[in-house]
Amino acid sequence: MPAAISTERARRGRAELRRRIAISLIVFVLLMAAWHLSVRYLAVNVLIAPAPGDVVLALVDGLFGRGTFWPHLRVTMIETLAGFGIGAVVGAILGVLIAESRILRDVLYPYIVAFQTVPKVAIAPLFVIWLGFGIGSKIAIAATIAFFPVVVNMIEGLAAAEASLLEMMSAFGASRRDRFLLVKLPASLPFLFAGLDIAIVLAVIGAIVAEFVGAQAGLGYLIMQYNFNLDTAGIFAVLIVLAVIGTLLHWAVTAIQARVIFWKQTSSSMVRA
Amino acid sequence: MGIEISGVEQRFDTMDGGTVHALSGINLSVASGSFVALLGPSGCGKSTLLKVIAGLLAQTGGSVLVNGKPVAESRYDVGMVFQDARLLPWKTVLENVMIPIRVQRRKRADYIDRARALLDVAGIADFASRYPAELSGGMQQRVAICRALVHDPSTILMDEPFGALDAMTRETMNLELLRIWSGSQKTVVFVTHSIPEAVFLADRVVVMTPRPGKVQEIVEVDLPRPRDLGIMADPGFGRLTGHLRGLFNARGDIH
Ligand SMILES: Nc1ncnc2c1ncn2[C@@H]1O[C@H](COP(=O)(O)OP(=O)(O)OP(=O)(O)O)[C@@H](O)[C@H]1O
Ligand SMILES: [Mg+2]
Repeated sequence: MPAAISTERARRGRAELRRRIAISLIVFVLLMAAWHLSVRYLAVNVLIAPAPGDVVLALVDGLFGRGTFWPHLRVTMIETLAGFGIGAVVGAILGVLIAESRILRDVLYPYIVAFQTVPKVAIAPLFVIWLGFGIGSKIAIAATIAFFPVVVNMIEGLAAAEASLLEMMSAFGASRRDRFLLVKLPASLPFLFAGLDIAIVLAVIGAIVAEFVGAQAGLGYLIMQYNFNLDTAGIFAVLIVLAVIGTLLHWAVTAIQARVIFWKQTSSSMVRA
Repeated sequence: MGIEISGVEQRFDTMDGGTVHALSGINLSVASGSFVALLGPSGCGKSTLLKVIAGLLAQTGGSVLVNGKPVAESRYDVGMVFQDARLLPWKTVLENVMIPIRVQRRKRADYIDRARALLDVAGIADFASRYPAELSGGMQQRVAICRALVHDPSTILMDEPFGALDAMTRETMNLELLRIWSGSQKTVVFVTHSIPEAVFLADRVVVMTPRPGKVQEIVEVDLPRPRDLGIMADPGFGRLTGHLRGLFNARGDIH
């Protein structure tokens, strides 16, 4: 792409990121203040809602004091990313196959639609029985949950390719393969990324829920531990870590999307020119 | 050789189970190297006929030969321009122009200079590495014309290529088109519903009647070439447009 546009876009991207971080921080501080005041002045039981000060202490201790969080954070991240990766790749490939093959669509799609209506969380115990308490069952559940938004969006994205562009390709004698690679696939990318964005957040949820069901490590496991010990401050601290992870992963997907689907932004950067 | 259309019929099944008779017994031969305009009111089957010639639509009857062969076999020798530019938003202007080269498995190195030269003629050489969204509508349509010409086809099919442009840009584009076409020996079929545009560009104007689309009359345009916009003041130009307008007025579908 032209250098002028890409640098301009990068600059805008950084400014946009700074703006978003600032807004997020302000909202955070306001929430904390409201929380602190209500615990203090409304006499809320600390077992139900700990004071923010205690949560901050638990958070600092978990991350920088005893550092309890790190090994669990690592496990949950591995489960999330591996699950997301598997779910996304399988979902995208299956989406392509279903969109492009009549037979596969007739054979597979009914199962996928039927399976999608099953709450994936409800099958978590089965995965633990099949794959054990290690990270295997967690990856499998995260992958299963992440898979659906990807496959559905991939199918929809491929179908969304403009008929007029495909007709143009045919007029020049393009093969089916060329029509797919040059038109359908690029046209599907905005849909694919919308699916990936949902999938990455669902993968975190999948990993945590799977850890609730039975695990030896991970942030979900840690929450269960704190729960047994009635350590609500610890639970809140882990929740904050999870929120940060989810946000960062969402940003990462958005950032990659902006690079891959550059032609969607072109019009906005043109306003300046 | 040119284009031989004989007895072409086209019927469409409609959604309510009926049929639309879009083209009826179309006979037309377009001489090699000539410029023919298809003129007719909206819905008379101009696009349908062009799609049949381009092989994008299988006719329900009759036959079409492009340079003596069914279009499926001569497709690489045809270039098409649609009413809208139909550029790939994710490809640069140059890569869009190179689409026929790419999908027809021709050697890129043999055509890249030609692609650049065409962009130069079209006045958009500076935009070769830009993306379509950064171009105006008129510039996009010029890219589409370069794309139709890049593989040096002997036949060009154009479906109201300037229909979406304002009147002034349209005149400029018509001039550019004539400049590119003159001396190129290319056969052109140009769909329009503008009478002056048809007369200005074409050697022959084929007037079509609506539903079912038939060839009503073929008008020879005996105006000298090269033509510029001044020719519109020529009495011959006025006589031809007047005659064509008379045909439409007599039928009631006034433009
Ligand atoms: N795919 C289709 N299915 C059903 N009917 C169609 C189809 N394509 C065209 N028609 C019908 O065929 C007739 C001719 O359509 P066509 O698009 O060729 O007209 P046109 O002369 O190009 O009109 P315009 O100047 O508005 O572009 C119309 O009545 C239209 O409704
Ligand atoms: Mg039309």
